[in-house]
Amino acid sequence: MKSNKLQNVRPALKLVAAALALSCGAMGSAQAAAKIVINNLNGPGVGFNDPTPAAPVGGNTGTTIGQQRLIAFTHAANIWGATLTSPVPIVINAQFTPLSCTATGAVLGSAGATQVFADFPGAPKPGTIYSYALANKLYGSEISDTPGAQINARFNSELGKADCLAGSAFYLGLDANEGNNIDFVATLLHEMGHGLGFQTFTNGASGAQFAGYPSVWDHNLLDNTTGKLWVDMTDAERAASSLKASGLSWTGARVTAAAGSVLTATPQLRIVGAGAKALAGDLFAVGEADFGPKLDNSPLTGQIAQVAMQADSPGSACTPFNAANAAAVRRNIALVSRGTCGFAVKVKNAQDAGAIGVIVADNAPGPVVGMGGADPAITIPAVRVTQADGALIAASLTKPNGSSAGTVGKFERSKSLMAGADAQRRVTMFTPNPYQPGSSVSHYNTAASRNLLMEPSINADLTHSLMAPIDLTFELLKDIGW
Amino acid sequence: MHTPVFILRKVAAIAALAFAGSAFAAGQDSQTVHKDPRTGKLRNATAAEAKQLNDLRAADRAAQKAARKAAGAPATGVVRLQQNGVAAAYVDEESVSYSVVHRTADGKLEADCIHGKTAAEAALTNPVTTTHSEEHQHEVQ
Repeated sequence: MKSNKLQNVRPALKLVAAALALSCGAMGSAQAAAKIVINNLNGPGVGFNDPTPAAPVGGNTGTTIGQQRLIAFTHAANIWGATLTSPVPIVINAQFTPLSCTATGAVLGSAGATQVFADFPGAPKPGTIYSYALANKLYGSEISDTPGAQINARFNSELGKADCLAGSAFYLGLDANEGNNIDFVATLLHEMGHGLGFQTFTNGASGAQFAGYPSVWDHNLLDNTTGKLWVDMTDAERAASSLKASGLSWTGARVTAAAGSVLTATPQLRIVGAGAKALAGDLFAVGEADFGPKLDNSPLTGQIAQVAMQADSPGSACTPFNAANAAAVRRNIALVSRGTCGFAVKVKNAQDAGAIGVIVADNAPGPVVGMGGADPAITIPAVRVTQADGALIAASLTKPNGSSAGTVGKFERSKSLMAGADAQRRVTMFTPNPYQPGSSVSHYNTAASRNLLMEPSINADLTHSLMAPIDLTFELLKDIGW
Repeated sequence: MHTPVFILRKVAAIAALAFAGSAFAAGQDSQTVHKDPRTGKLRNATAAEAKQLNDLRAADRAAQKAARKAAGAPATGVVRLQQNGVAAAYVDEESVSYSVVHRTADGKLEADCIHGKTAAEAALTNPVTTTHSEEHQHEVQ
């Protein structure tokens, strides 16, 4: 097993992290076969060499800020090193340095490949660019005639200062227990993933390829509405496909094979009974709530009762239900409208009135989205539907807050669809409309559930796993040649 | 002359792809938000204002490129043929991945990954529209 080493490229400085790296390296599994070398570019007293005392946290035994940063960085590198195979060391130039800030936001860090290569012996696809570290692996030795680090990584040394998201900091523990801070290890794993090749170099907004070459990524990206791969499209077709909600699917065999073990079945609302138009029931896409119980494979079934506006409430279901509404929703599923107060407030009021579930209908046009919020006292499930679907469901009822319409709702999970995959069970990519420069296409769809490391938002519930059945990052890298 | 205060998605995207070659001319259609000096309110940029901003950004990119050249840094986004016959190109800041964090109205931190320096810096000033608008968006109300 090879260990991942951290070296300080400034000879005057101590190789503080070398021993730490070795100790972390011992954590790698037998499959570890990629050596990752971290060049500490920081000078004395700053960044990775910051001597500010720090108490050990979350398994990070460093006693200064600099040591803890090094240990966390090495920990992330070792996770990758234990996952990848390559005969060529992967060198990362790393430093803490001032990056852009505002009072309410900050660039945490950046990472990326330094070079790309095409048409080399060992390349699976001709005329296609591969990021430096992957090209080295496939080539079998150093590929560049101007060798250097394969990945550059920088992190914000100003984070937490008065004019840089004051009071916030990287969580340097190794246990993903970051609370309200930013998990440095998860951030590193994500950004290193991009540096290793989890991205297209093709511009999704214009469709233009990098220097006229497709990325290996583009061979695996399919417009599932036209059946055309990105590599075979015109610039205009690529740009158009980047805007199709859940319209770009990853076709790589490894990701597709593993998706079923990682992603959960898609939640849905089925309307049956007198209010349904189809014999098997009408299906509606739903967003799930961050609070209350998740939907499971056993459907929650109940009659739907629409909650009427109350004179004492500034919005639908924002105050305790009056007698009429309480009678309507008791032992039924409450249909309420979004707006004015929090989702959790509405659901808790319905629960207190005896409802067994809640449907929140959006109050503005838009796609299906989830519901944020928190209330540990909530014990009933809730789902969110679009404004249009909410109107259809309401129209199937005979009385505004009645429960006698015979419209029955079932909160269930699809037997065939997965959250974050298309109908053919291929994982979809992040394709919002309008295009989000920097985030679109090169990340997994945020509809994925469980949350994935390579979604554009770094979610709080991420573990530090890269592989199925926890995550799909490594599977995608395997698809492109790792 | 109005002062551009926010750079929205399109101009960021255009800047992000400018490295990729001469096919990407500056001054393409862009959408920006400006502060109207008369009312103090934000409004869409006029075509002239958008062009002005694009010109400024193109000039900035040209200056950066010249600075890189003067510093002896290799050109990015340009394919060179190595002696071993392999095609190679350096990657610039617009293909680099950035982690951007912002504090939401309820005090939570949200971190997003964004490719490209231009887009990342735009996300700092316009985090909601730049980073959270797809199907799994979790508003609290």
